[in-house]
Amino acid sequence: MTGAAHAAAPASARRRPDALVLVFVVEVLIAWVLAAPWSETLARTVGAHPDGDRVAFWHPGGLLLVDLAERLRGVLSALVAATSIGLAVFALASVFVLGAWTAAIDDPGRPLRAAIARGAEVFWRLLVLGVVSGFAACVVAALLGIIPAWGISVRLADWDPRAALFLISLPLLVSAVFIAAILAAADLARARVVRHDMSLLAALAILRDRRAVWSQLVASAPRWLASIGLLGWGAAISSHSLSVTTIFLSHQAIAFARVALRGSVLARALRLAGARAAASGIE
Amino acid sequence: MADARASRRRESIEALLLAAIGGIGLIMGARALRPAQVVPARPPSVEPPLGGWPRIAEHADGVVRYTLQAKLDPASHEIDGHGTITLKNSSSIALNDLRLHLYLNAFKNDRTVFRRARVGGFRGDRSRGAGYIDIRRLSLAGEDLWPKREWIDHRGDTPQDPHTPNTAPIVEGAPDDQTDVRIPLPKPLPAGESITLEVDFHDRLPEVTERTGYEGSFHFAGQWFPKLARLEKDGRWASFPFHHLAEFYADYGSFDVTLDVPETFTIGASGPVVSSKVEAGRRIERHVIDDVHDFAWTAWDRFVAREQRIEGVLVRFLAPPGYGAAIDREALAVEHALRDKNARFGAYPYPVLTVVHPPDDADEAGGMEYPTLITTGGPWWPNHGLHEIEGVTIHELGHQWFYGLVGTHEVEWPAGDEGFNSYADELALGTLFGRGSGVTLGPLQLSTEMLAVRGVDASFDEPIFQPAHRFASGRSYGGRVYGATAAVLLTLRRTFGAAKLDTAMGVWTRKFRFQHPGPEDFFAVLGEHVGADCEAAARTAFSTPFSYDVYAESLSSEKDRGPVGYFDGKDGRVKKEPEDAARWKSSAWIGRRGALDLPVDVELRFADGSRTRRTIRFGAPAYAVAPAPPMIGADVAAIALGVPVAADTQPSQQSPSNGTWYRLDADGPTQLVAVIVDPDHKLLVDRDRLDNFASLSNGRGGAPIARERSLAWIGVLTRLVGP
Repeated sequence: MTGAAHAAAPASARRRPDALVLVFVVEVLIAWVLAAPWSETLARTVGAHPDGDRVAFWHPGGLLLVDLAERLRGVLSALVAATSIGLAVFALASVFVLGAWTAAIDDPGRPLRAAIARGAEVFWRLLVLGVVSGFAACVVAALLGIIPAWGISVRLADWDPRAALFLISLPLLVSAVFIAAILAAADLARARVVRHDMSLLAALAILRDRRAVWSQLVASAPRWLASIGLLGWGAAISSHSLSVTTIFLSHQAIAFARVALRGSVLARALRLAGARAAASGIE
Repeated sequence: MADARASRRRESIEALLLAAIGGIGLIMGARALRPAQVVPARPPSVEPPLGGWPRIAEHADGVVRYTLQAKLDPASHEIDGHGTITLKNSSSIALNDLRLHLYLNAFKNDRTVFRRARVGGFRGDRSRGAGYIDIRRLSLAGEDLWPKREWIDHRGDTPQDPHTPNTAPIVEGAPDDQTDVRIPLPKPLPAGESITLEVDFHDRLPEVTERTGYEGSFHFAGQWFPKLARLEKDGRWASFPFHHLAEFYADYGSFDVTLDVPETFTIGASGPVVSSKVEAGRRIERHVIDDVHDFAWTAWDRFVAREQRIEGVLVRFLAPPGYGAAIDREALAVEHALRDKNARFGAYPYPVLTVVHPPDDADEAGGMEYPTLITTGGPWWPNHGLHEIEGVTIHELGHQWFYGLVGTHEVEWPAGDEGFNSYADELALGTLFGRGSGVTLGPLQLSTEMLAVRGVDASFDEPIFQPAHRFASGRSYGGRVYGATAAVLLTLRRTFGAAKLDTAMGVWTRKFRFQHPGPEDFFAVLGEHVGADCEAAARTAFSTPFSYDVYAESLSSEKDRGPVGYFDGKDGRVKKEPEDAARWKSSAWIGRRGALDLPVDVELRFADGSRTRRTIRFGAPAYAVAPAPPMIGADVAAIALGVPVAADTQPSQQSPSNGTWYRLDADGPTQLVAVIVDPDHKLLVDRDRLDNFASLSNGRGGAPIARERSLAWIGVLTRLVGP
């Protein structure tokens, strides 16, 4: 990879709408495939009701919902298992998508086909990076969050529960900040792998650059918050008596916006990685 | 430089905007799921029967009087008790003996009836530390009767009880279960005469396990004193071992109890405090209450107390520190429930009520009822849409009527208190929370009726009205006694008329206040105030192993083209061509499984959007539907739904049923497209509502909401694991 290609236009998710739409379409298609057994099962159970399946879900009192749960008790575990397996397979495949998408964002002039090829090249490194960062996040969650919180809760069993909750939440908050930092650092490392074709170890050296990690964390935080907050918008829209089509379009618009926010985080990581590399003479 | 500043400024604005979008979204999401503010409802209007309500007894015929002193040692979890027990022979014959319940011995070892019973699926951790009660002296006129005691060995005594097989005692000479004892009297006690016994006893409380015991310094003393069995009118003692699933049945009387605990402890007990003092580091309180059949108390050095006068009753809330929000919810529930139950079942007659919220690690003591004292439970945080605290509080308060004021035999007829009380819960919770009486989470409203519905097919189709110990398991007992009883009564209320059933239940609780009625008394009240067919349905539902399901089997609707084909007559063969008449021949087939005979609403829907309703009966000819009158009802129902009813789309006739099926014909100018059986969900005893509808489209429309929601939710997951 040469630095000249990057100098012309800084990495930007907005400059690659094709990649953005492609990622969104892939996610929707996968979700549609995974949701099909659920919706088909429910359609066969309550689809014949003249009021449609609305009556099963939102009829005040929920008696049909209870009957539905009882009727589906046998197949529910199968549906959950199938969905879980599908999500696991997609999680693996999404590493490739991530690589291609990052490559496309990195260079607005790069053809999509070239970006996909780049995604294939960096697949294994990104996969290991994902596993390592995920493992690190779990360890931090356990060591800094869950175990201390559990220890505090045991010791504070006789306390006023409001004060106990406040104290228990402190280690959880601290661990959340560290996990966020790990996720930010992982994005920076991904950017270095894709942009500078670094080895995994070289890419992870970004951990030594605390300013870069902090800068990425600060840039990502509002996007993450917005992404989570959009789920709240989705819940609020669902709670209104709108038509199914309106709710569907709103939910998909929210899903698209969340993908775009993720692209924005990746673009930020690429720009930061580029700036840091330039400062240290790496091209 | 200026560019860099502008870029940073742009980024800052962008970050602020994104954070605002996120923050507002989180707030909106939380608001969408936030439950609405709840306030106690106005008291319901319940119609008295013709001639007015039965006279409510002001006082019970006091048969027993307990004057007890109890001293708690919180370090050893022991209680030293002494005092007097007075019995009036209210039977028609002379008594030669007494029967005492020593309930605390249920926790003495793992071979007691209470602990050995295989009652899976019901509350109670039976592995916890043991407890017992020792009688040290039981004297009558100076003579100690205790050495002459005879333990009542119930092994093999109750063949209908599948949980207490006839096995030899572990130690020779005494039964493993010592919860029931016979005391021979030195001389017969004539009818109408009284005796007074002096008693010294010593309790060692168990670790708190289903109802009673200690956890740390928290102590709850239920069934803690030697208690006389109930003396029936014919002179029999209603005595039984302490079963796991039921315990209460006793004579009404008076309690004068003086409690002695360390000074730092707060006491909660049945009845009002008549005197209180602190002496030599001990808190001594005297509680006196009449017209009750039990007495329980609690003491803890960490209770936070709050007193509030609600509907004229001094209510004392005792809860762990930090449970202020829980107390708020309990106070709201008590206010609402007192209004509701006073109006429905006659006024609460006592001046006080104590509501105990045990600490989390003693939650086995929660959810229990004693006269003027109830225990509740649940989390400490404010109302969050799950109405657990309100549900438990209203249920336990309801027991003041169903077990307390109407003293049914819980062991022989548990549905008479737990079941009737669960029914009363539904009414009170329904007026407090509407259809989201169990859960209110945004648009999702789950009624506690779902618990009743699940109780109908919980385990086995056992009769609901049968002794507690005869149920196959705790799960079956819980489902049939709590859930199915409520489901049956709610079904009767909705099908035979809410006003009539409310009147009947009002008569039941007023007429039998401070009495001990049985199932036949209840059926008689139903028959008199609701009707013979309601009584018959109730007898089937409660006294037989009933199972019930109504369903829409199918429907058909095709163009009526008149007579078509070749017809031979005296003038030869005539060929009839199809006419283009705008009429449809339509029928819906409705099925029933089970013998329960109830009116069933059926809604028919037509292609032009019109709807109509009919009420059908599958039962014996005596209950056959008259063909014409329901037309008015159908119009009214359809208008209520806001859909015009075409004059010609009324069902033209009903097919007489053979008891298992019914055909509704609905010929008219428009096509019949769908049928819904029991559209208002009146029949809570129906085991499956998913077979209650049929349509010509037969589900070809799919499930759009399910498709949209599943796509949205799984889309959230794919984003989570995605790139």
